[in-house]
Amino acid sequence: MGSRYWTELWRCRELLVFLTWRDIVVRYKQTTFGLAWVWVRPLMTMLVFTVVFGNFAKMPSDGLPYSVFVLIAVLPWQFFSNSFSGVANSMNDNISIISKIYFPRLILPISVVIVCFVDTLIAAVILVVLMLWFGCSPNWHIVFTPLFLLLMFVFSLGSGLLLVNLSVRYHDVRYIIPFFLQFAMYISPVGFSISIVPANWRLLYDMNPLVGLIEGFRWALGGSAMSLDITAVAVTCVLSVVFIFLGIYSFRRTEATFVDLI
Amino acid sequence: MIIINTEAVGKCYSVPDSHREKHDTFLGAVAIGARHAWRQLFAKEPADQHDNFWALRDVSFSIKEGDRVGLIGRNGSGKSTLLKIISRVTEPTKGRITLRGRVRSLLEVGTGFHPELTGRENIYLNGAILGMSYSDVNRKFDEIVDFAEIGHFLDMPVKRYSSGMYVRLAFAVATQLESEILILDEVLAVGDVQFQKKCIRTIEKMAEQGRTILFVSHNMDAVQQLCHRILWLESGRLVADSEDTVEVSGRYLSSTENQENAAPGNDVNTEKFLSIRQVYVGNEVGLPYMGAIPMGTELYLYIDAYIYDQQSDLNVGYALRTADGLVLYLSCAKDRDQEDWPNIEAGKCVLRTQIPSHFLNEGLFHVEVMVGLQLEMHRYDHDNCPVATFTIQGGFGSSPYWTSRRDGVLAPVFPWKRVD
Repeated sequence: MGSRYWTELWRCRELLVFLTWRDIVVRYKQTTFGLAWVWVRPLMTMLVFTVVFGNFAKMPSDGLPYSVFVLIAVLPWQFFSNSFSGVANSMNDNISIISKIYFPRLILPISVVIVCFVDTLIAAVILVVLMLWFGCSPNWHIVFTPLFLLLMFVFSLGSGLLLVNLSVRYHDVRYIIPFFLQFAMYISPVGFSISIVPANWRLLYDMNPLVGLIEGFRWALGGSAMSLDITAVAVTCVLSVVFIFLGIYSFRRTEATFVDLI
Repeated sequence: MIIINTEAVGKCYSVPDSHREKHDTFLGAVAIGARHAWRQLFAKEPADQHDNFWALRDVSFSIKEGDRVGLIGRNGSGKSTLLKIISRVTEPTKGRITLRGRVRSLLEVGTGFHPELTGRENIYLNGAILGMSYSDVNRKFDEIVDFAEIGHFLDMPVKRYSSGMYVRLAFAVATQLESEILILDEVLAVGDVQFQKKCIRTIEKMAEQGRTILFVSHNMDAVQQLCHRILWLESGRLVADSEDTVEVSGRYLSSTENQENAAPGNDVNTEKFLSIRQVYVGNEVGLPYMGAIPMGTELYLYIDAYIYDQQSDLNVGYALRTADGLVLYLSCAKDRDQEDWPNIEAGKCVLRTQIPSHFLNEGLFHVEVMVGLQLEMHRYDHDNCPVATFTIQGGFGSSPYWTSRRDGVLAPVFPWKRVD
C-alpha cells in the first residue's frame, strides 16, 4: 500500500505542476500589482523593523546594515508563515476538487509549498539589490544556502501537515493560525539579533525551531561577521525530520476521511 | 476480466444531531470533550454516540471489461456515495472494493475550472486534474476546441463565458478522457438540447469502442439506450442487478410513481376486488412482443385479471407514462357508451385494448394499471403488481423525408390535403 501511494504520487507530478502554475498565474491575474506584491510585503516588514528596532531602539545587527540583516530573516519567515497556513488549509481550500476527483491528496500541500518557494525566490531579488547597494559581500558560507532552503521547505511542509487533520475537522483552526503566527514572529529573531537574548535564556530560546532556520540564513548570507548557532540549527534539523515524518504519517492516516469531514 | 469488484461495501456517515452541540469548532470540541470526560468519570449515563447514517449497506457486484452499466435510484438512494467510492474519492466504511485499470470519473463536468484562467489554460488544467498528461491534452487540443464550439473565446477568462459555453468546454475536455472505466454522473443534464444530443452521441461512441461505462441518470431512455445492465439502488441497498433493462426500468418507474403519488386519501384498497395477474403488450392474437417495437406496429395491451368480488361499477384502465414519468393519458374500459363496455364479471377476465400504430414516438413507455369504482380511478397498488414496459424504435412514417427521430412524445402520421 505504502509504495503504491508514492508511485501514484510520482505519476501525478504533472498535476502538481499544473496546480502550482494555477496558483501562481491566478494570483498575478487577479491583482493589479501582480508580481509586485511579492516584493511589497517583505519590503514593508523590513522597513518597519529597521526603523523601529534599528533606528529607534538602536539594537545591534552584528555588523550588517540593519535592513539587510532584517530582510535575510524576513524572507524565510514569510515563507514559513505563508506555507504553514497554506498547507494547513490546503484541503479546505480545494474542497471542490477533492470531493470530485481522486489523486494523492499530498499533491495539494506540496503544491502550496512550491508556490511559496517560487515567491521567495522572486522576493530574494530585493535582497540581492539591497546587498549590492550596501556593498555587503557574502563569504564562502553562501554555499550552504541551498541546504537551509531545503530545511525551510521540509520544516514548513512538515509542521503544516501536522495541522491539516485538525483544520479539516475544526473549521476555526483557520482563524487560530494567524494568531499563532503573529505570536511566533515575536518570539523568533526576525526583527532583532539573538545576541540580545540573555545568555542563561539562550538554550531555551534555541528550542524554537525558527531560530535555527533564521540564524542559519544569516550565517550563510551575512558574510564573515556572522557566527553559527549550532544548537539552534541542530534543533531545527531534528524537528524538521520529526515533523515531516509525523506530518506525512498523520496525513496519510486520515487522508481518506477528509472528504467526509470537511 | 473483472475490473470493478465490490464486496459487501457499506458507507456510514455520522450525522451531527441538531439536539446536540456543534462539533465543527475547535472550542466546541474541547467543551464536548470535557463534558465527555466528566460523564465518563461521574455520570451514570453512557457517553453519547454519533447518530450513524448508512448511505450504503452491503452492496456487492462486479463489473467486467466492456460492461455498460446503468446505475439508477432515487435521490438519496446512495448513488453518489457509490460513485465516490468507485472513483476513490472516499473509502468504504465496510467491505472491500477492488479496481483494475484506470478509473476516470466525471462526477461533475468542469472540476477545477478556474474562473480567472482562459479557456485555453483551463483545458490544460482540467485535463491534468482528470488525469491526462500534458502531451495528451496537446494532441487533442484542437478536437476539444472544435467540440466545445468556443472558437475565438478560447483566450478569454472563463468567468466571461456564458454558462452554455462553460459547460460545453468542460464536457469537451471530458470526452477526450482515455480510461478503462468511465464513470458518468448526470453529466447529460447540461447545455441546450442540441448539445445534449451531441453528448449522448459521444457517449454512445465511447460505448461502441468497448469502454467500460458506469452511467448514472434519471433519464431511463438514455439508460436503456446506452446500457445493457442496470444496477438499482434503494436506500443504500442494491435491489436489482439485471441485464433485463426493460423489466428493471419498468419496475423502477412504477416504484418512483408509488413514492411520488403516495398522497393521503389515495389508498383505496383495490386489492379486495381483483388481482392483476399479467399485463403485457402483444399482437392481435395475444402473442407478446419481444424487444423494440417499430412505430408502424398495431399494439394491443392485455390486462389479465382475476375478479373476486363482482361490482357493477368496477372499472379497469391504465395510464401510459413516458420514461420521464409523464402521464401521456389515462384510458379505461368504461370510457365509451354503456353498450360498448366490456363485461367485468367475477372470475378470470382478460381485457384487451389497442394502442394505435404511428402514434407513439420512439422511446420507453410504461403501463400502469388503474382500478376504480364509478368515477374515481386509482393506481393498482400491490407489491407483486405486474408491470408492462415497452420500447418503440424505428419504423418511421413511410415518407422518404422522415428518416430519423423527431422531437416529441408522439409521432402521429396525419392526413394532409390541399383544400383551396
